[in-house]
Amino acid sequence: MFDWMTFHGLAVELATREDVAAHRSAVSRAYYAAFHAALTHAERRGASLPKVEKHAALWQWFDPPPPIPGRTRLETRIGKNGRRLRASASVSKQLAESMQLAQSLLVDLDELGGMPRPR
Amino acid sequence: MRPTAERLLACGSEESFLAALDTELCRTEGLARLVAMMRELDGEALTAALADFSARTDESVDASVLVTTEELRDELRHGFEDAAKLARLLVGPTDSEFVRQTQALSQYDPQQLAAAGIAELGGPRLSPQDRRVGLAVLRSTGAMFVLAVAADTGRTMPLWMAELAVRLWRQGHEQLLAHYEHRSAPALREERSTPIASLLFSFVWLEPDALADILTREPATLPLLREIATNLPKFFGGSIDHLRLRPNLHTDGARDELAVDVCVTADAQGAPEALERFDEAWWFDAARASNIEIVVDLRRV
Repeated sequence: MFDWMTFHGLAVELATREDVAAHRSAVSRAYYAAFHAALTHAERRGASLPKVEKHAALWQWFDPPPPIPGRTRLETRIGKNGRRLRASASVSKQLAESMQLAQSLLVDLDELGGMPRPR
Repeated sequence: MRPTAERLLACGSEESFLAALDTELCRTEGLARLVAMMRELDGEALTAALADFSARTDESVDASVLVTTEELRDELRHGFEDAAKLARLLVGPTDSEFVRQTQALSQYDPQQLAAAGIAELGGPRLSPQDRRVGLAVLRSTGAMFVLAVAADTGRTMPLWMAELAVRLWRQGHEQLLAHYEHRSAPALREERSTPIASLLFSFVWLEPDALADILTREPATLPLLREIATNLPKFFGGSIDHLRLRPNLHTDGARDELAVDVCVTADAQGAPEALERFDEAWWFDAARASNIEIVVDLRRV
C-alpha cells in the first residue's frame, strides 16, 4: 500500500528549493499527505464519501455546517485547516504558512487516531 | 431596471425598502446598465430635459408619486434643479472632470467597472466618510430608478416611500455637486445602515452577484460575517490591510461556500499565530451558527 506520508517528506524537501514551481509542488504534496491521512481516518470511522467532490466532502465530514452532535473541537480544527490548506495550494506567496498548516493538520490527525507521524 | 424597481416598490416599510435597495446595489446589473447609459448620454439633451422637468414638476410627477405635501413638492423641484445643474456641470459639452473620467474609464467593461465600484466601498483606500458618501451616491441611483419607474407606469407610491426615495435621490446629487464644485459637502440626509451596507463597508466584495445570491438565500450569515469583521482586528491588531469576501465555489455548485480572506501585508509578522488565536478564542465556536461553510484564511498582499 502506498505510504502517503512519503508525500509529506517530499514536500518538505521541495519547500527548501528556490523556485516557485517547486514551492507549488511542495504545497500540493503536503496537502495530499494530509488529505489521505484524513480520508483514512474518516473511512475507519465509517464515513461514506462521494466519488465526486471528495475533497470538499471530506473536510465537510470533519466540520459540517451546520454542526452535528459528536464532532469534537479537534475535528472542527482539522476540517477548517483542511479547507484552508486546499485553498492555499494556488497561493504561491505563502509557502511557509502552508507547510506549517500541513504539519499542524498531520499532528492533529495523529492525535485523533494514531496516524503515522509526519516526517 | 423595471424588475428591480418593481421589487422595491413592493416593499412595505422604510427598513425593508432600504434593505432591498442595498441588496439590489450589490448586484452589478443595475450599475453596469447605468455605466453603459452614461456612455451613450447626450449631455445637452439631458440638461434640457431636466430643466424642463424642474419647471413643470407638478404635472409630471404629482400624478405618479403621491405628492400630498408642499414640502415634498419643493423637494422634487429642487431635486430636478440639482440634477439639471449636475448634468450641466458633468455631461455638458465642456471638457469637464467628469467627462475626462468617463473617457478614461471607457476602456473597461461596464460590468467589471460596476464590480470594481462595489468592491471599492470596502477597500483600504476610502475613509469611512468616503464610503458613506459612495453608498449614498449608489442609493441615489437606485432611488432614481424607483421614481422613474413609478412615474413611467403610473404607480402610486405611498408617501413614506416617496419621501424616502426623494431624500435618497437628492442626497446623491448634493454630494456629487459638492465634490465637482470643490466645496465641502452637506451632511447626509439619510444614512441608516442595513446589514448589507455594513458588509459592503467591512469587506472588499469579489464576484458581488454570486455573493448577493448566497446572502439572499442565507440571510442568517449576514450577522455572523459582521461579527467576523469586528472580531478579526482584535486578534490581528493593525496588520490587516483589508478583508475580502468572495464565493468559494470550487464545488459542483450544490453547496454554498463563502471565503473571508484576511489580507495582510507580505511582511506582516505573527499572522498565522493571530489566526490560530482567532480560531481558538472565537471562530470555532461562532462558526457553529452558520448553515454554510465559511473559510476564514490568510492572504498576503
